[in-house]
Amino acid sequence: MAITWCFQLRKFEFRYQPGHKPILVANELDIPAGTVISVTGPSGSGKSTLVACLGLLRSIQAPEGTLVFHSTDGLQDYGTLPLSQAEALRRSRFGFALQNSYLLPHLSVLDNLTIPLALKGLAEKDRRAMGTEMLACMPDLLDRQDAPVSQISGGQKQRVAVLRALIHGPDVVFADEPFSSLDQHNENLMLDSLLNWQRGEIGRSEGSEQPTRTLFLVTHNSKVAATAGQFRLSIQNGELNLTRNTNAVESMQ
Amino acid sequence: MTREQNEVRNYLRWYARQDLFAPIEKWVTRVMCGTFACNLFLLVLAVTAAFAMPEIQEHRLKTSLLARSIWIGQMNNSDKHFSPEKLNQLRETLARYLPESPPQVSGFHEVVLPLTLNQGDRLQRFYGRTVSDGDPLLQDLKKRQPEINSQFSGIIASDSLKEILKFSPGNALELQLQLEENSPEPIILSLPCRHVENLRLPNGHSFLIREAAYRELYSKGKAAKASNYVLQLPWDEFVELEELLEDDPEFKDCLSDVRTMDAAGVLRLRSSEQQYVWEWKDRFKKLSQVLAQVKPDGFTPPDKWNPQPEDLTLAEWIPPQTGFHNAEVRVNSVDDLSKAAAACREAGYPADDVLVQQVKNVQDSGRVLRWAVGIISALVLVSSVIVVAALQHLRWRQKTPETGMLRILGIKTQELGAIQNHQSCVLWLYSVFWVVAVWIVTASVMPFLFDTAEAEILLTVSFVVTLVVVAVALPLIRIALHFATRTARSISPLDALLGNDS
Repeated sequence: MAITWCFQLRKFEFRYQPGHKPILVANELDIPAGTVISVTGPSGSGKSTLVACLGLLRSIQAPEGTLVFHSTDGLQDYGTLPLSQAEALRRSRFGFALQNSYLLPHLSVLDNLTIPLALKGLAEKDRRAMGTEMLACMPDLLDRQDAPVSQISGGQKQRVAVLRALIHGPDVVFADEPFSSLDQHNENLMLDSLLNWQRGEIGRSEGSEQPTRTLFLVTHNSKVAATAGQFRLSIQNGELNLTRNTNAVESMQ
Repeated sequence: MTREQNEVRNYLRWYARQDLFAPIEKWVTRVMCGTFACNLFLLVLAVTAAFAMPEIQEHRLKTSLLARSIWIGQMNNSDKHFSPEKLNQLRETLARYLPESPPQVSGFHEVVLPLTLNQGDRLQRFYGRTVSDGDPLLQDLKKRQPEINSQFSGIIASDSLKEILKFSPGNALELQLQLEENSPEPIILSLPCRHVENLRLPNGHSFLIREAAYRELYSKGKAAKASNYVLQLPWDEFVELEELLEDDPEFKDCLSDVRTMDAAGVLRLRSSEQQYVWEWKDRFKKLSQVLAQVKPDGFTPPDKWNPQPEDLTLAEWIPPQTGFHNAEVRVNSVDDLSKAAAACREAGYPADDVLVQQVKNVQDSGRVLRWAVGIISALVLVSSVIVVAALQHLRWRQKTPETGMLRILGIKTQELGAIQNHQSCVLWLYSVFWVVAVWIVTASVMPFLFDTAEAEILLTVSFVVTLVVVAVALPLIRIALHFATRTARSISPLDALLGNDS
């Protein structure tokens, strides 16, 4: 199967301030589309910064080189991307599951889960239907779908946050250590959800083509990194290094 | 607008309301709305007071029966008495000052009535003035109280007399009038009395009476008895006078009782028949004419004789038949008062400046009040905006991570603006609801606190002010919320999520 890239970095360097030491450096890097990429590296190496750069969460103040995103809409050069286009990409192409759940406390479980659908313009009835379907595999959350999120546990919140990243069918999901507050059972459950989504088993309408979905999985768990990702993107002293994860490929095969 | 855009718009509105009225947020929202509503209502009160109170004061002046009047002349100064010619001269002078709306000029007399208010009470003297049948003041009185017609023979009591007499408006009283104070058998008459609301008379006057009614009153009481008058004449002049008029049949009677009183040459004249005082005065006038013909330079001018009643009887208060003690200048608008006063001064009649000053003070204080309230209003508005902006800023600062999350989920900047706008509208609606509710309650109480016309002024002014304040409040609250949420909208989504808003 021919693998195309979703992100292309050329002579890319990211600094917080001009003249400062670069945080991230990539001379020539093509990140393949439709794959699971484990992002690894020691604490403070820049994993979250990489997610912020790729996911357009941080304005790149001192870019050097180029960072291009390839989607079905064409090529998007981050260096010249207008604000409205960045917002459109975050809304429809990207999904984010971060270390903290960041749910809105005054909304219910279902309302939090379906925010991306609301921003896409889906009617309330459709949103509820899709949200309920999404929660179907988690009976404890399904029972509490109309409860305020302040009344559910931290683990439940984290699961809602992970599902929220998937519900609108994005092309790329950035999962930045999303399992940190989960027990092993729920971690496995969520990892399965992410991998199922990447494989197109979640959020795909019947009869539609196999979507090209890319999952960035930032993790400190070497076992997860070794088994879940087809590629490993490691960061050492800011240098980005992409390698094929043979174990994962074999396991997938 | 596509169906999707419409759905997004509805969702943002729903989200905005949820954000304001979630259980943990609703108290902040209530405090914001309450503070803003209080400030708005204070503003309505202040601006209404600034614009309505001078209007009410002017209204009170304009509707006051005598607010457009200047009284001139002095009762005891015969040089300043108003003959018909003098009144015409005064009219001409006034017409020069106020050609477009020449004031009406009418003469009147200052009169006094001795009244016994209660059985056995001491006699009290009350001063008042006459009104002639064509007097504009009487026309205004008739409009207010139709029973005061041209035949009304009683007195029209002012507010001050009403207080003394303690009778309610609209009631008619019969007062005991005692003529001839020092007479062993006083003449007591009943006098109808009516009160006209808001009749406040200057110069210590406490009543009005038709001139004809006043004369009739004394005629009824046969008050026109013979009265001893004292003439201050030098002795030699008196002798000459006696010789000159000895054979004159017209003066024979009056000179028949001539007596010298002392060495200073005091002449006492007593008529042989009962006569009115003005008839005595007519006699003196004729006498002066005769003397002027016979001895133009030799005599003390008769108008300096100043005949005075020897005994104090009420008959002295009967006014002269021709001319008036005083005159009333009635302008068409209170704004003309100062010019009319200047015209009176030019004509040689010092005008009472009190009313002119009063009107000027009302207008000046109105200007000062409006300036003061303008500044206070601006401060109130600024403080409202600051309070709302500060509270909303604190709320958004606390909610910056939520805003960051929404931005990470792809909400557009203008959609955040739409949430903020909708929240502005909701806050505005809630604030305005309270302002309007309090206004309605206040408006329903106004008729009990003010008279109808004043309540109407207050209602009209406060209604307009409320509309303006309500209209101004919306952009203000939008400005406040715009500044409050600017930071959360302008920083990067990740910084907002992490609360790095500095």
